[in-house]
Amino acid sequence: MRQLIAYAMSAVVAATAAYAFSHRTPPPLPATQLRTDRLLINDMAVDGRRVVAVGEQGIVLTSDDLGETWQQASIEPRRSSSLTGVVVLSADHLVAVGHDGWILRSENGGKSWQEVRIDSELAEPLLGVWAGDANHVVAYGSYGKFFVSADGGKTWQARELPVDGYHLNGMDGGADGRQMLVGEQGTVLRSADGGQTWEALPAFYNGSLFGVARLSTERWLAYGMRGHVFVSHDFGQNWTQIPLGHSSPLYGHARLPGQTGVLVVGAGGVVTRFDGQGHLVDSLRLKSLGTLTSVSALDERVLVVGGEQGVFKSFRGGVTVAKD
Amino acid sequence: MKGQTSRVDRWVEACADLLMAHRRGLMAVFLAITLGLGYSALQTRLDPGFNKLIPLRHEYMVNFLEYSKSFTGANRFLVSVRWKGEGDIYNPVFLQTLRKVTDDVFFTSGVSRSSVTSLFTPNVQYVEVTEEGFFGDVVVPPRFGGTLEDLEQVRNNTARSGQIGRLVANDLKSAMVRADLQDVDPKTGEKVSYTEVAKRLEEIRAKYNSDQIEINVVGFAKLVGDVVDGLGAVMGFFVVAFLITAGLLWGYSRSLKMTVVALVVALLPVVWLLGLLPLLGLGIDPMSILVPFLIFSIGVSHAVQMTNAWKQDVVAGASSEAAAHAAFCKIFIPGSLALLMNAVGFAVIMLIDIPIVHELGVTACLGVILMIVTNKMMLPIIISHLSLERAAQPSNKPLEGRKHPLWWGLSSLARPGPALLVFFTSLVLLVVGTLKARDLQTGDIGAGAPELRSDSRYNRDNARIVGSYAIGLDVLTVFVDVKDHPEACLDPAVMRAVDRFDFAVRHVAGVQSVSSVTAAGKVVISGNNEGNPRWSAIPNSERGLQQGSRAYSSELGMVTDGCQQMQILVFLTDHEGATVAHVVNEVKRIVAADVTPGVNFRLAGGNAGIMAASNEAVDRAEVMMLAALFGSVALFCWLTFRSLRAVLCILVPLAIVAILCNALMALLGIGLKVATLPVVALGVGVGVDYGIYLYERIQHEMEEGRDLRHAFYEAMRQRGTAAVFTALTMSIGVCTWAFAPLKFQADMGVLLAFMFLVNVFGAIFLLPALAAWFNEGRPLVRARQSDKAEASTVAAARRETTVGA
Repeated sequence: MRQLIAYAMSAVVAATAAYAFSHRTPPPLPATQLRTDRLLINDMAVDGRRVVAVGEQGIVLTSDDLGETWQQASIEPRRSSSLTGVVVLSADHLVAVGHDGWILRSENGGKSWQEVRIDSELAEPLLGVWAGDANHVVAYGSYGKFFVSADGGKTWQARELPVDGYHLNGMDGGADGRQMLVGEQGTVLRSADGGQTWEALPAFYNGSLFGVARLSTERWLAYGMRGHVFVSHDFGQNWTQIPLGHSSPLYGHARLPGQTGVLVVGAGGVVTRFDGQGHLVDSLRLKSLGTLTSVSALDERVLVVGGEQGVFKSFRGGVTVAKD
Repeated sequence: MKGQTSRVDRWVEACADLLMAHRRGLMAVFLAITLGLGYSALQTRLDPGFNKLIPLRHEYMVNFLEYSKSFTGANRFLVSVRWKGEGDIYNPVFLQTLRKVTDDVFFTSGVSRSSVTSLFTPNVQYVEVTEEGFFGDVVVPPRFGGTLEDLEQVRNNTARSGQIGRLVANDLKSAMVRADLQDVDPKTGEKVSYTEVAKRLEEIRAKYNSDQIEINVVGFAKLVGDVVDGLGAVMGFFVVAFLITAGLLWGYSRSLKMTVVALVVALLPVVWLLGLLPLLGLGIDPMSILVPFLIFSIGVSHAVQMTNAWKQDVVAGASSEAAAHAAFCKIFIPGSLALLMNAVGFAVIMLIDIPIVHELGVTACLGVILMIVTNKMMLPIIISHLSLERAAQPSNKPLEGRKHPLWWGLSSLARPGPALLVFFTSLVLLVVGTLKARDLQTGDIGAGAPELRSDSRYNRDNARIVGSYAIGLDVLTVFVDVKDHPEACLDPAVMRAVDRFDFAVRHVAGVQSVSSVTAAGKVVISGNNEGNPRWSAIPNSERGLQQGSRAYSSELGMVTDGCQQMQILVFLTDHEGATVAHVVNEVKRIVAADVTPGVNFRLAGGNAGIMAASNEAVDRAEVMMLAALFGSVALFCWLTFRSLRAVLCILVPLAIVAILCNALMALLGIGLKVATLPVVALGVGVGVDYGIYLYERIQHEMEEGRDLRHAFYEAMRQRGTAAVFTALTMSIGVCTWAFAPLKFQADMGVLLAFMFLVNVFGAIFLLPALAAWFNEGRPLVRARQSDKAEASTVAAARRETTVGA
């Protein structure tokens, strides 16, 4: 009987050995989750204190803490088309547009989105969206595409514009009905009647313009390829180039709080600031962020920039913007 | 059982008679064989091949070899030129050097010239979107003269070429030349020699290194060159191990003759083995170069057992020839059994489905079997001609009537009470060991080339390059196989599937970046639309995709013509086992979650793909190997001793040591991989020797009528000293590898030293304790009724006088 002790010992060793050599799982790495620094962000909008960013693969990100953390919004149905533009109509109401003529609406501040329109047949991109008020929204894009909605983005009508099939890249406007569109190969159109009629302006630049910012009724700023920025003091009649000293293309802008000017961002992490008169204030590069497409100036302190390396928060300390 | 035992005894004795009768003739034959094989051994060649490291039948590797016909670039090397002076690389001295290095790489034989890529080669162009359209040109203008304007132009062109982080370091302090090697040199028609290329690269380094310029080189060819250099140092370790062993042997035996005999006999199987390899068409590779060491160590161990038995009889007054005869009778069965165990241990290594490990198994197995001839047949003949020096006579001989104090004290472990203490200690070690052993990781641990030490030149270069550039050297290649989609690059279903895969994998932890045809396509499409990043997407139409045609050229190496096959490069942050396993699992999950008909994602190539396959093969082989090993050892032991209790006495200590070995690996941060997996098998195969030698004596002594404690004491006295001595010798011998420049050899050395040493502890502590409790109630071995002394006349006589118990 006492032999059992030796057998028990052997059994314990055998069992432990079986456990010791059974399959081991390596220490787990963090679970896969969306990395906000590894996706292309094409546009941003600010809804109250919330930043909404849209980008490749139909990704929409929202942040309620000035860009510190980001949440991925839900989209019904999910598609892998890229989103290129987003705009706030009124509190909690947003519209986003993208490739394949895709248009989405959100009624809860960008947390969840519903599809309004998709054109998988033609599959050409919309490149931007602009809202005049809570109901009037305009989506524009490749080959002169131009859609208008009068019911907050629920239904859309196509409009023909005299642009000869050029891409429309940027738009701005105001409550007084004065609007401006810019696009491929120096295309500039203006409307004084809230977009009912559009007038093509004579070309003043043979390159492409990627955006336009309205500084006042008369004063407009257009920017585009190779560091080209033009300002007009007469609603687009005459344009003057502002030399920047660099030749990085510029892709997006945001108004500074309190109508104190605009920030224009572009390739090479360029952030250029213009005052309300359209004068160049300063220009700097955010190192190693690559191409920037969009920027949000939330308050005096914080900038959020988006681009080919996702979304980033930047303090004014890093982006020295001169005091007025 | 009794009848069988004596039949075996009689047979062994007949063999001994035969051996002694024909000793002169046999010796002449053995000498002739040694001379012949010694001559053949001179032809043994080093044979490091890339494919030998790959588990060729693993699914990943089948894919890898299939696709490697379509995609080159697996055999790439990088030469980074670093500027150590003031400012950045845009100065005439640096650019001049870079140009010369580019030229030197270009003219290195074996380099595929079209693949040479640097700021100075025409295949690197900057692309600019201007008002006039898409525009591209070479980065360094042909009329570059080094003026300030020229430098400024190069700086701008480089920035626009998108090569910052790729060909130019992020901090603008270095730039690299990238090139692929061909398999066959078209000029000579011969296989490209990696060692030659490595030598050439080292010449380039020596030529341009200065206080302003530093050259860093990485790549498989360079790695092979460095490993081969490291192998040269192995020879030095062989000499060191040989000298240490000689010193220990002399200290132990106090006999120059016995020392020389043991060393010569241990060298014989090494010579025979090295002679047989070329005859069998095998070579020595970085891993199996350690086998001769191992064979030598085992050879010494067995020679010591034999000469020790012989010496005991000679000291007792027998003639050399009679003592040799008796030693053969006593040692042949347990010795050959132990060698067979070793052979089994090495044979199960062949279960690992990697050619280099196969060869290790074959070589080691062969060596051990040769040792049965050299050690068990040649040695008795040699010692039968030997006469023991006077100096060696009195040593080791206990005083009349007194017991050897150490071994007698140790033998108290063979009583149930003290045995419990051993059980308790063993269980504590077992639990601690098991908990730690669960932390053992499969694959590499740490950065850089796993073959070399982290502070080696190669790995410092590697760290420098990985730290300066955005691209890594650890790549997992995923292949895409397209069916039913002609011109797949213009097919939105295919391209969007690849794009979604690229996007999903980019977010996996452990992934640094992803390179695919769609990523390149998006750049071109965006470029064709004024460079607007908002166009940087895969269109859902053939017309839209056509805008990216420039990116779908098979010359860029990402797709074949017609895009029926593609490769996606997933750059990893490192190649640790956990990272590789995680990324592979995530890739599988991503592929399974997003199925597109006709688009088949297949794993895996690149160095990380090879590692994933090796790690999986190692994981799979581990349990199988251990089961086969312990199973066969148990079977052999049972066949010999015909007792379950004997099997357990021998195997239980081995099992604990095997667990402790895994725990030690986890503790030292050594991963379980191709180089370290065989260690457990080698260690168990060699470690079983001690148990067999001891148990055989215990059985023998108990048959003679002794109680367990006295039987164990006798076993220790006759075999224990030699066992402990050989364990020490072998441990110290392999321990010298710890200083080897090659990391895997160092790892193997440390682990083997541990296994060899701890195995002997298991045999002398735990074996008697287990025997003590197995002996309770029913004796472990029944004493023989009739006293048949014929089997051990000389020994028995001597025991009467020396022990007198």
